[in-house]
Amino acid sequence: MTKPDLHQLNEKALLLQWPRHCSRSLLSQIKALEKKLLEDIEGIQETQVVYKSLCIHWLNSIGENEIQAVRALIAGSFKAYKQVARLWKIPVCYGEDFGPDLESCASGLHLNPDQLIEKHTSFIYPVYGIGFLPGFLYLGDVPGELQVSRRSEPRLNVAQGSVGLAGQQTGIYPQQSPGGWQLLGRTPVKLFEVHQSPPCQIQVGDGVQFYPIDKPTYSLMEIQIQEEIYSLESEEWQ
Amino acid sequence: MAVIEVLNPGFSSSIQDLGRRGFRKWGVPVSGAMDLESAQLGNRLLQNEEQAAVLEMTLEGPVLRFGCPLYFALTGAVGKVCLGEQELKVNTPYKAREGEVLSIGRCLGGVRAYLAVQSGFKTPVLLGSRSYYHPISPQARLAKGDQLIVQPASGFEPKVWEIKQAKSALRTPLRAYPGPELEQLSTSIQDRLINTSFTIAKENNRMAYQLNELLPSFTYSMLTSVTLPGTVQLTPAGRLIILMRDAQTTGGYPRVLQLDEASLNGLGQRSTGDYLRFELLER
Repeated sequence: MTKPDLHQLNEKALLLQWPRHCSRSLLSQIKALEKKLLEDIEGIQETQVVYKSLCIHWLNSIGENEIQAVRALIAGSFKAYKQVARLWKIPVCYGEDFGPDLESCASGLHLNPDQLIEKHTSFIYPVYGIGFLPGFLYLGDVPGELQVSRRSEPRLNVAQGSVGLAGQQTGIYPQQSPGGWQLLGRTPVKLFEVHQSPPCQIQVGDGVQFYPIDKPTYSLMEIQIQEEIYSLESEEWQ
Repeated sequence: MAVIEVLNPGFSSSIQDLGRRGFRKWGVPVSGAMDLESAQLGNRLLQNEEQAAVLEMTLEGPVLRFGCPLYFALTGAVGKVCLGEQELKVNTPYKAREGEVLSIGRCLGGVRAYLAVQSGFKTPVLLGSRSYYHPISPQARLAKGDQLIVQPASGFEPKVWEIKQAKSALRTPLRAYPGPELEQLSTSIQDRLINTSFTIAKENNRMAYQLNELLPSFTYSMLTSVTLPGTVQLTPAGRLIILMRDAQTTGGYPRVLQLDEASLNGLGQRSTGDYLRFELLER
């Protein structure tokens, strides 16, 4: 594994950044290192992995000892710590008022809307980070044939569950918010629930694949979610 | 169950504690008191635990009615405060009688004042913290008619009757560590970052403070990475943004500086139009 740059951010936080191009294999190595850090080093409050950075937040101020301990771990091998990632299947109702940009995106990519839906649902997107909003997944590895630019004017109100596309990224708005991504559809699934533990089932390093549903199925799932009898499909992801 | 009733919510008041720990990996902001030092002073006066929740009041405080006898203390940028007809002092514990009304006026010498109560506010814990942050918490700030739950331990008497706090020096430079992308700036822009006297823009809140004065526009493409309270970002337009307690946990703008904890607390007392400078901490 290439060695990361170490940067002490403040009294309690250390940032590790890898100079390499971001990829799923680098991400899984970073996740393995994260697991080992949490097991071996005391006093860590929490860690965050975002693309090719890993941030370690300590409970108390740190010094040379903590930095040396991290350096020693980076130098060692931790392949055995590889975690099992999960692949999550997320239902999306594409087009019409749920996906106001589906048609314009399709024509910009020289596809018809059905072809765009077929392509968007055929790839697995790794979760490279979670941020911007609680439960907002940065889903990467969108292939060139699906890349569109952001909207020139962001929308002030993007509905919760909206599925968007922008550059190499695709994602789901976990709550109503302003947003500049092109909107293809909407999922009834709630990605972030304050009263669940953990509040978000999906973790950095997991994969997401979308599948198309029609309006009646969307409405049915909405009711199932409300009645708490719906559970998100997932399987092991090698 | 005893409550404190909100008769008038003030300008912007919210329950805050040390913030949410362990949820940044899911994109949950840390939150917590903007000036943690002042908030903790109130808890110390009442022998509360460090994580006891306090009321943070911005610019102008609320009017509250006590539903039970209760010790409390005011800290931070406290201006004129009255319990019934009696005018109160900062950093001093007082005991309210049931039904008494506390009127907290405009902040003085800063923009955030804190009300700590005996045993802390017992509003709901959400993801390990009572800090308000919408939509993790149902509301972002106090509203008229809110009933804030309290549960004072019996038999309590204050041991300390006053703590002197060093006046928060509003004009001292903010001490900052070099940020991960500082070295991507040319030395002349780095010099301007350290030698310019900036003012705080009207766009300042619990999430972020923008600064009015622009640096030369600067293009540096980076992948989204980690941000935290106190991170100073530089946008391509040359705008400096200082992330505060409710800031998002990731960001894609270059991180040029990172405030130390004391400077972040001090900045929480400053507001629109206030001057600030950065002083680079050696590593």
